[in-house]
Amino acid sequence: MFSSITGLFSLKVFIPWILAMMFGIFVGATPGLTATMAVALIIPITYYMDARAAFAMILGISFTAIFAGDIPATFLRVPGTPASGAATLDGFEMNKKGKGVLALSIDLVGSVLGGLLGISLLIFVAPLLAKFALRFTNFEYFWLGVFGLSMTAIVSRGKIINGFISAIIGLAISTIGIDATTGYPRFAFGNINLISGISFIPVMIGLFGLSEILKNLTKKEELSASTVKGFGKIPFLEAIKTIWKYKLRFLISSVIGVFIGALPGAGADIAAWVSYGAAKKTSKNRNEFGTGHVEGVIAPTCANNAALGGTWIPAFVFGIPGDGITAIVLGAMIMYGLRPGPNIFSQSRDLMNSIFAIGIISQILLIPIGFLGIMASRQLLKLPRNIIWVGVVFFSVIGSYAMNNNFFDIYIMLFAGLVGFFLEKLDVPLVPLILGLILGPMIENNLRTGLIKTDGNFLLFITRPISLSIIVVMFLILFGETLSQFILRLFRGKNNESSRSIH
Amino acid sequence: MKEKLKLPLGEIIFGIVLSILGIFMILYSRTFPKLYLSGDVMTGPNFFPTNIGILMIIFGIYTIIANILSRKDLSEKVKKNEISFYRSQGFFTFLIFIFFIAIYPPVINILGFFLGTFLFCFILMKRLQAKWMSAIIASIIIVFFSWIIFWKIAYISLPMGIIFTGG
Repeated sequence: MFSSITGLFSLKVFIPWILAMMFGIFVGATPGLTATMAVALIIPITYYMDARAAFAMILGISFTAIFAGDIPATFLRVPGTPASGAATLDGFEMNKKGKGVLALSIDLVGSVLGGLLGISLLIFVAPLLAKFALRFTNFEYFWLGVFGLSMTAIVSRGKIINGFISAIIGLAISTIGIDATTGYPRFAFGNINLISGISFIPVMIGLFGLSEILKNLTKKEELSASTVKGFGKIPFLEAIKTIWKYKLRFLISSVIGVFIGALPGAGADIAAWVSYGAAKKTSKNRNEFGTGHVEGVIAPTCANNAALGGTWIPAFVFGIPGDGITAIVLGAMIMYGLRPGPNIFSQSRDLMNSIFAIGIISQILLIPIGFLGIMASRQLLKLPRNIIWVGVVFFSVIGSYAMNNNFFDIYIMLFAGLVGFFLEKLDVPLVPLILGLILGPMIENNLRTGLIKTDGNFLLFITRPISLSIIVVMFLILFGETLSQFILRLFRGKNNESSRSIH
Repeated sequence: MKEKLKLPLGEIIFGIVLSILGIFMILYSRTFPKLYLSGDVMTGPNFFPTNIGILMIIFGIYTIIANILSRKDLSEKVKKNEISFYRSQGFFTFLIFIFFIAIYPPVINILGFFLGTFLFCFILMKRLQAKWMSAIIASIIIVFFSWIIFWKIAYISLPMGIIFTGG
């Protein structure tokens, strides 16, 4: 074990590792470039390297990219990666109050701790969790999607009907493109660009990034002033104290992250949203969510980095990818001398020990590299608004194009930006739209496949133990508080009646 | 003074658009082929869009009715602000930004990524009253960095322009 760790500090492993992590900051902070894309880009380079160097680069780049996605999400409301969508809520609101650097410092510490917990769970409970995750069938995945979508009610800030409308619009958009079951192109109108469906990255960039700039253009603001106010020093200690204060939130969010990450096909973005919704529902400060509350920053950031650890659980144990990154790496694993399967831990013990050590050391390295990223973006944001806004619009445009090398995605982003602008004017929250778009295919495909399997009988969707457990948890999160208040009122009412009858 | 009540037109139009989209989804879904399995009709590609269409109509009608019933108190001040927004310089800038994003793809196809992006950034910065020198330097830096990140590092092909490559 000791030799597997010391070997990681040799120059041929350590230098590419650090460079990859720095590259991860760049990629994550650039809208349109995702952690998956970053891993795909470095895979060809890793073919010529030692397996430990390859995994150091892959894990390092994915952890830093997921964190760095929160930098533009917090400062500019443009999510750098899909997993950073939730950072556009409280992180951005904190930034508006001049606490952007504090929000990002908390975000960074939360990412590191969440990632550490994710890796620890990967080390200790991987086979157990993987076996459980494999018991999920279409019925359970359907409910998991519904569970994610039910977060609409929580993230809609009191505008539940408007939130549902927004989610329905998202679900409607998700039906565009080839139907997964029959291969029939739906709502494509003969347009080749619509056949493959609407990618949610341009939609997300447009909805959150472009609409924010369009909104700013209509306000009377000093155009030559700096974009972000109140920088000051990087409050590292304050960030640690804040996380310590909300240690239970960090723990719950990280566990949610690992669990969702371990479900094949779910991933860090869904983990972040579910965790945010759960935090908002169960927090004592729920009314402050969405106005710049630190718990709203901690929950998604802990979950999305912890989910990365979770995604490796089914990948290592069963060779089933947990997300896009593991899907890419699975193909390359054999080249690194790894055969995914239940025996991986005994057959490749040395390499697995190195990978676990890489995961933990990457999290520690993320602290200085992440702070470098925050400092660099802080310098950038000292520029006047009229330069930053145009820069954001341009990177939104080119970032949307970069996803598929397709100009059509620029128009999707523009349309989403206009839709976002007008929906916000009508007080319709934007987050449920993204939830609908992300979870739509998961809900539809599993519902239909499940119905085909059961000959249209919906009963099996609710009678299976795991399905039923998800329904109960969802019900408790959504209505638990109302139910407990109702029971308490009922109980007190009876007590009052009995005390009156005694008197 | 008697308070002025006004129908929230924006919300009502939104409800109407939602209902129309719902009706369209249902009708268009009917053209999708049915899914047969061993001779039985199964839940086909129209199943999900039809249900979403129904929900859109329900929520659309709800939005219309709820907003007609709850007329907004609209003070003169708010009304003036709303009108002045559409006549303001800010709204004109808003339209210019949308126009420039819309024409960016054809423009860089003709002028190429370098010149097209430079002009895109420079004109929009000038529109936002940036100083000449700042706008020129910032536009050049944006072009250079985006070229490094997207072309050199991420291997994303960017158009070099018909006028430079000859077609």
